Amino acid sequence: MSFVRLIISDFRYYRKAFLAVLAGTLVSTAVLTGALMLGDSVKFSLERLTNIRLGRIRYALHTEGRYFSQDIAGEIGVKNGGLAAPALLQEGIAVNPENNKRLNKVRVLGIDRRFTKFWDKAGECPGLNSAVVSSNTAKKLGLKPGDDLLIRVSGQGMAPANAPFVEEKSAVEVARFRVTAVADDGQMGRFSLNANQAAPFNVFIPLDRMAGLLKLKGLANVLLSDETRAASCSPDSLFRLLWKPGDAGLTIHSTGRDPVNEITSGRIFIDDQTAAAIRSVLPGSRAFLTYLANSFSYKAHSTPYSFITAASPDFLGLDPGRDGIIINSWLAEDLGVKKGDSLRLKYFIMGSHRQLTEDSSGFVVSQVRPMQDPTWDPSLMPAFPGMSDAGNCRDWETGAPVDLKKIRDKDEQYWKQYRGTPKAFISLASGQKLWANPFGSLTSIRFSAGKKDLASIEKAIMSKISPAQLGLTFTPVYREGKISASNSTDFGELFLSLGFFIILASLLLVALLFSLHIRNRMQETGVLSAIGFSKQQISGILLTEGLVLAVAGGFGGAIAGILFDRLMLLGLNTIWQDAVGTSALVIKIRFSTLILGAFSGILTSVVVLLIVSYSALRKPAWTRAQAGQLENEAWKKKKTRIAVFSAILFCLGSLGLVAYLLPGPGINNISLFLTAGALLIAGGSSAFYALLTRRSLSTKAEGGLIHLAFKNAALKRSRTMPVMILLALGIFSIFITAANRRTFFQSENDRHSGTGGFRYWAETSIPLRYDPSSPEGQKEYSLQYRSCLKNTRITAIQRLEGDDASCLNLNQSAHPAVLGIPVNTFQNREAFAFLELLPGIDPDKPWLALQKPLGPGIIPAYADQTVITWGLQKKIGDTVFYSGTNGEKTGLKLIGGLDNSIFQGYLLISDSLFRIHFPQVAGFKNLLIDGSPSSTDSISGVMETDFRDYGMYFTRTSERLASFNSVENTYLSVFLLLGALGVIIGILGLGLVLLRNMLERKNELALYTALGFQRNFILKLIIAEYMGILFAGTGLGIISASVAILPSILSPAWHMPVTVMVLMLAVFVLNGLLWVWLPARAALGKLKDDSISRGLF
Amino acid sequence: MLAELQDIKKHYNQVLSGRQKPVLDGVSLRIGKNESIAVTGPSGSGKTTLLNILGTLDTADSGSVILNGRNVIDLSEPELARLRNGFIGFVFQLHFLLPQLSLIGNVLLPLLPLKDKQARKAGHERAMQLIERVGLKDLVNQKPSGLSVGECQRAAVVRALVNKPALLLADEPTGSLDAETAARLGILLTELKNEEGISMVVVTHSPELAARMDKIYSLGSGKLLPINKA
Repeated sequence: MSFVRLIISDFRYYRKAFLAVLAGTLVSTAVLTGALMLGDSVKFSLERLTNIRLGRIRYALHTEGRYFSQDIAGEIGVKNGGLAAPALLQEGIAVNPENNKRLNKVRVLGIDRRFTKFWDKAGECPGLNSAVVSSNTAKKLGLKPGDDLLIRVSGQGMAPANAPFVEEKSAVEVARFRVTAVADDGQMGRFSLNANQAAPFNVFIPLDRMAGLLKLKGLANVLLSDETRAASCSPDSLFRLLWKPGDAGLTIHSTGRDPVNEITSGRIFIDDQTAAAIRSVLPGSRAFLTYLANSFSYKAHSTPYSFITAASPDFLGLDPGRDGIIINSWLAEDLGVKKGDSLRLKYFIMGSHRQLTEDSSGFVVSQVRPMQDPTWDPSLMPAFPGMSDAGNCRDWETGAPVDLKKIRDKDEQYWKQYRGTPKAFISLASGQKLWANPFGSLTSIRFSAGKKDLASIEKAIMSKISPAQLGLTFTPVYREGKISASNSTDFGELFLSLGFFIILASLLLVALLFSLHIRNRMQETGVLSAIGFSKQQISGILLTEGLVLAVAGGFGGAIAGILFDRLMLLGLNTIWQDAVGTSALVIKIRFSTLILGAFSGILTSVVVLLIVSYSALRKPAWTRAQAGQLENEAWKKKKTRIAVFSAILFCLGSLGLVAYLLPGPGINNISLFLTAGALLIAGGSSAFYALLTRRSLSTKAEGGLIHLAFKNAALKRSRTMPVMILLALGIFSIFITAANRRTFFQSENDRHSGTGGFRYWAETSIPLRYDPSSPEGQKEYSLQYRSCLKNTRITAIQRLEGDDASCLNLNQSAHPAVLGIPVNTFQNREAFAFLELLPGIDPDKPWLALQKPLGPGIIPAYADQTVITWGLQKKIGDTVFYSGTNGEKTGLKLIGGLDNSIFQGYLLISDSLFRIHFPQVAGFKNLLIDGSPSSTDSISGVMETDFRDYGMYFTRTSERLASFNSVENTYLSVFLLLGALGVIIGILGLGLVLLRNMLERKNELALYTALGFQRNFILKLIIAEYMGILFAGTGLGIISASVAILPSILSPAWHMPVTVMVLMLAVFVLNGLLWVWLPARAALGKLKDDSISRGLF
Repeated sequence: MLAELQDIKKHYNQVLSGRQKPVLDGVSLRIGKNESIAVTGPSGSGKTTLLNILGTLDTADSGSVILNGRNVIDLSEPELARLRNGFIGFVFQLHFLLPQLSLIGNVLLPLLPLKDKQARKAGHERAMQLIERVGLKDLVNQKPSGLSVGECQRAAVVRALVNKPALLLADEPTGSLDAETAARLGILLTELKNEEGISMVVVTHSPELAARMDKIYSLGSGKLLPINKA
């Protein structure tokens, strides 16, 4: 005999009990390991998707509103010895003309062959008039190679849409392509610069064709590069080394009057930083700001629509002074003015949302110069799109309203003869004071230089400007993608908490089973003590056995965790896809996670077994040897008193908390209500324990089935209590989960709800230049004739593109899209509700807090609390930085968190600050619409038809909210399912307790039979006893949960999935009944006559 | 003196009143070498408690237990375990053989805590002799479930003696046996006591078994009083 042999004998003899303990540890470890592995799998899948979407792309330069030469990509590639490719990327609309299926928010990419080389699997490069579509685009539009495809994009050109006098009408370009190939995920089909697991809808067309459509010949807004070959060859340093004026939007050309050269910008206005850099290189240069004047007027005379130039004094030869103006003889003659006369100049200044306001200034004529004077130079007029190439004034297409009736024949004559030659000069300082705008305060810079010097001047200028100043910086997209993936929603943690109840139930089952097992072996341990085994030796035997079980359960559970992981992934890729928005999650088994899971399972099991063993072995050896239960009655009474006291304390605490919270604003304090519910569980459990203990002390002889059942339950209360508490906790969790499912019954019209009281949400793929609610917008989009829109209020919102930071994106977001919202409208509506605000913000007027900048380059922002916490992984008070087109950084400080709203995924700032900090964003891409519910269909129909060319996506705000809620609700469903499994395991525990009790109560059952009790009565007695425990646990769980969810119950939006809950409860009760009935019936079935006598005697 | 109880007091709480009830009220007992003592008394009089205290399975509220010249109060738990293993042998009313072990496995169980291999080897030989002595030689590999109650109890006696204890404590050893088996076990115990030269304290209701002991004591109202053998 040896210890090992003794332990082996134990394993043989107690195999059933050990198997049950093993099963418990296995289940808990499987859930634990599976959850951890799920975290690995999701992270791995997201990292894999980063590889898929980027191929070998490591760096990307993507500009909004700025363009650079396509040629620089080739030069960077050569210099780097690697691959670099230019592209033009714009959101657009794709239509299959065959079936008329449309797809909004398509990413249209102009690419060349270099682009396809970033992926190992060579994809087809679209040839002339052909397109390659991603597989999801093909599927959505029903396209296959050979089909035609219409693409609609906004042909903006290089000039910023918001710049003064830039052509008003959005040039929506449509082009037809033949689909030649469908790019799958292994090719470039999933290409995206944004970290998002959802596949983008991509359409690839030839780069040159795209450039033609967008009026950006030879230009690109995306530059991609593979790995850099040396530290000195960073894409940014190469770009800076190789860039030319054209990459900064500049053109250096001769004026035709040698040696005078001119620097102009394709963006019309030269931004101030660049202008300063140029002038520092060319100190003798002359600067000009040419602007369109609405009229020059003197007395009753007026000259309409003329150009006027603000110029350096050295160009004019004299300084006209602050109020002086030099005019040409044509204007002098037209107005009848002479030197010394005062004339009035009217002009537009750019307001918000492209609203032009007419302003005027008075000037005194300081000089009249003849038309032959060389200062009157038609090339001073910038190349305003829609104007400079017009044959007649009446053909002008400007960003300003031109009253064609005012244009006289003589004006047309002037245009024909002198084109855009300015009719007047004022000082540069005066002009800049009047007409400087966010895009710059110069339209050209002139300098004298010989042709041979131009190259060195170019170089000097380009070295003086930093690409970063213009927002031309590369982002390490691959590294950031990997970081986003690794910082993504931790599914390991999430599913660990979702599966927590199963783990708890399994461990409780392990504890229960092991404790029953040890209790079964109390005599044995007593005998071992009696024959000289020390406590350590006895503990050693029990713990070795426990350890073997824990190790086997731990490693077995870790392996079974793979199955759990697979099942959960299957669920996430299919029925729970709402939560992840992809079906591309794949399993990843990391050895380290398996080991971690196994050891965590072993550790938790060992701790449980240690506690059980310790509590069993601390009893004196003689009580174990005699297997007696000489309970200390005084101690029992003391325990009853403690339990009664605790019950009163906990219940009063719970009721007090509810009474305190209910009448006031505390009704919204969910955590305190949860605490009240938890206190009630503690109080109810204590009360139940006290009742059982009192009953066990009672000597009253009154009979009755229930009385007897209660007495019996009281006898084994150390076994029944954990089961009852587990059931109560399980039901509590399940009810809370079900009650917290997000719904908005009757609340969607509530302005404090997540819809803000707005009824519809609309997004466009191509921005709307005009606010549809403005008179211009109404006219432009012909909305004034739409009767169904009569009582409809439209709130137009500008959007800066960015990452999707909503719960639909699993990756961490660095730069979410930003919306510029009309704060006064929101404040007047008292729209939406806040969960948290920075101290100092007036909670009654939270929206107004968005209006005030918080410091240089720092502006306030709100976001959904979920976006802040999960999407951005930040907190209130943190700042998110964005780069402007001029390279300046704008910090958006998060000053508050919104309750679950339709703005999930966005940062919200005031529209006025939006225009200042993000002037490059033209038009509106988001609309919030109010309207009567009865006109839903007509509003939807009209909006989608009228804005069809803009790719309008129109939805009810409640539906939008529901799509976000569905993520949370899906998680809650998972929790509900896993929680229910946990409860079922708990009920299984009840069955095991019963089984064990039946064995121990063999004599008692035999006695009942001998006393003439009918078997049915005994069965009822047992069922009453155990169903009592089941009902007590269930009842306590429901009551406590009802207290915890009181705010939800009292809310008008409260909705409980009653059918599901009733079904679930029915399953629990039936499951419980089964687990009570089966062992009871089996025990009674064994009560044959011989066993009766054996049991009794 | 092999073992001695000095003024042992022990109380239990009463079930209903919660008050303390003295079970042993200043009990003293001296056990000489090779001496056998029977303790009788009504049920609940504290006989088993007395035996448990003597066997160091329980502790007294006051008083001293001297075993082999040492006061057990001075001993640590491991020392007590060693004392029970080498100095004392226990026989219970029910045999308490471990169901998972064979007869020989049960009998050899007390050798397990021994660290000395020689002692274990000697113990093994002695166990085989004792098994043969009690007539269980052919049943060594049987599990307790395959043995009669009498055979189990004989195996329990061998288990108690395998480490050659100086003091055998038996709690109602014949309580679960029929009269004939009980008589045979009584004879076996006294024979073994004489053969092994050990002392023995037997708690029993059986006058026959008590009569086989050198001295008889009666325990009642917490007091232990000698009874003259007729």
